[in-house]
Amino acid sequence: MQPARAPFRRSSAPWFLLLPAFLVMAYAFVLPMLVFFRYSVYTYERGKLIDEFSLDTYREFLTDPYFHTIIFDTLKVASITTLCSVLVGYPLAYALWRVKSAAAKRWLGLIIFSPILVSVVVRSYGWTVLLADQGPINWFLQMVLGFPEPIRLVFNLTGVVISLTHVFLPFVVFPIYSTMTRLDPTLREAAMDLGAGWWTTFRRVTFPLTLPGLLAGAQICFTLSLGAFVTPSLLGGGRVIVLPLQVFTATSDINWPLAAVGGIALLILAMLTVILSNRLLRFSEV
Amino acid sequence: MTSDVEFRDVSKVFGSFLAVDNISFSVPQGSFFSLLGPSGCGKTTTLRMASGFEWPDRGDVVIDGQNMHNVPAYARPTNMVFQRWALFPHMTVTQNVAFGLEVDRRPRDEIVRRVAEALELVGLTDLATRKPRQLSGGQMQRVALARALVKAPKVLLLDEPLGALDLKLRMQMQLELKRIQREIGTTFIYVTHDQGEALTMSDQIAVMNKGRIDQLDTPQAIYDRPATRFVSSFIGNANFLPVDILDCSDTVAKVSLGGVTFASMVNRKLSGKSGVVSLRHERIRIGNEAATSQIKTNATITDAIFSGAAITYVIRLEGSDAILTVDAPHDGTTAPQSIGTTVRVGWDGDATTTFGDRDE
Repeated sequence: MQPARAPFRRSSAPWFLLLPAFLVMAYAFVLPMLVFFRYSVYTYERGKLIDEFSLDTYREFLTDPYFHTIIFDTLKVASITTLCSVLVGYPLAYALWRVKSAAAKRWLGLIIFSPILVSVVVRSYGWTVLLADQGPINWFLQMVLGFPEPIRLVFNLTGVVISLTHVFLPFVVFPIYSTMTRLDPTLREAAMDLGAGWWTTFRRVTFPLTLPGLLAGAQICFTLSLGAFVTPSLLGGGRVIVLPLQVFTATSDINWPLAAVGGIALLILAMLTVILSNRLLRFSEV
Repeated sequence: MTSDVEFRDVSKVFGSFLAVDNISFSVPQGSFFSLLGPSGCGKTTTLRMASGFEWPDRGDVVIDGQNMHNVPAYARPTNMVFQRWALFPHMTVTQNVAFGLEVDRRPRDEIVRRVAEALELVGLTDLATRKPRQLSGGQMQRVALARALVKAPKVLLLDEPLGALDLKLRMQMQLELKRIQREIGTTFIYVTHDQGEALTMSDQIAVMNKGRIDQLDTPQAIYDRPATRFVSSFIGNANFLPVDILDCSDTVAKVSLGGVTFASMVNRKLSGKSGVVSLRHERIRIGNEAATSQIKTNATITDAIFSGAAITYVIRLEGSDAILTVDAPHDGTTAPQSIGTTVRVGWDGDATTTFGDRDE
């Protein structure tokens, strides 16, 4: 006699449910990726695209200091943005968690979420006005704090980081907040009962147990920063060239091999981030 | 005897709910003291006021001779074993137990020694490097106990620590807790809704009901001489039957239960003509056993339930038609009484307590 098996329908149901997602992935990700790889090995000569295998674009990308600077700047923008988002976001998540009144919690949550509700173009122009040499921040610095001349806050790295931090904040706050709400409140009581004050309780109990949320938020923020295009182009003022901008420029020049290689570089960076943070996550989880 | 913990006229209000209503008690040094009551009776709130997680709205909490007014939880000479143990999931057993000593910045070698001693006391030396998720409920319970005891608190507070364990393990842990308490001589304040737990382990029990302490006494006194109708019904199993009160003094009432008259205990002089007598299930004897009882009458067996160590009978008294439940021990040699037969039943008057009609 054959051993009993689960009916076919039951064992295959998950795969049927995954089918739509598979189809979308195949059409919108796998297929373009193949095209992408194909273009990356095309030859580009004097503004013309030639269907001839070559690794020249890769070689150029990896050896030319110009591209090194772009990769470095991309990582720099993403790192500083992530650092700032975490530094602002963790205390914010903590506050959201500790606020007692439900109404205050709702409003605070809405305010943290609000940057996502505003269009990226509008938000970027808004920041341009706020951060300009004649803007309110510089007015405050000069008139109230007595700075001799305006501080350049926009059309450079600072502006890009400020604006990116602003919009990615919710992506950092909510994962952290969610790990905090899942924290057993008696753990903090237990720590205090054993003689720990607020700071020791935070350092030895709350923080280590919310680290997975912090890492998840940081990962999202970092990958999103890597791919940001509009903000660096509007607030960077041409001085901050990141990979997405380079891809855009190369595409406009019909230098598709260079655009494809830039895109692949971006993809590899994102994948490395995911792998690295998954490693850290596994380490930080209980 | 000096007292380790003293509550003086303490009240606590949550919104409009009076959780603890003007209670006073003192816990003698080195004793096992239980706060027993149904959920919502204020026992946990009382314990949390001792630990410093709740602040009394009125009254004083005095621990080890010091008023705990404005003393935060981390500065009190108390440690707590939490209901679901609240072990730090990211720390090993050793790290959990060492936490309290590290926070106090004790020297390293002292920490190592005291943690080892605490783990030995609860029998967990072999599991020192495990994380909480690799432990069973009983083992987590022991870690929680070791973590609290390692700080050598004046008073150990336990908030239903056995509630999440299965029955067999719970019985075993009860004996173990009592052994540990005797061994180290620390004052234990134990919160539970389980009367069996409280009776087994305690030197003294405070039975709480609706934010008040109904009775504070030894387990035996609480069982045998319940101060209120609530205590009588909450602890053990009792029949409550309406009786006529023929005569009443400060301690004894002459009552009539459908023509059967006997002297029953009272806690105060009852003024009414009628009352309710509490008759414990196992205090009623049945068949030949009834011959030695002070009060004897006849009854018909209407139901018999065999439950191993005991047989539970439901009987109807002759004359009054009152329905009673009786727990008779099962000796393993005689057959249970069959349903429908008429048997002799009896009880002793001083094993009963009579309460007034409107008493709670």
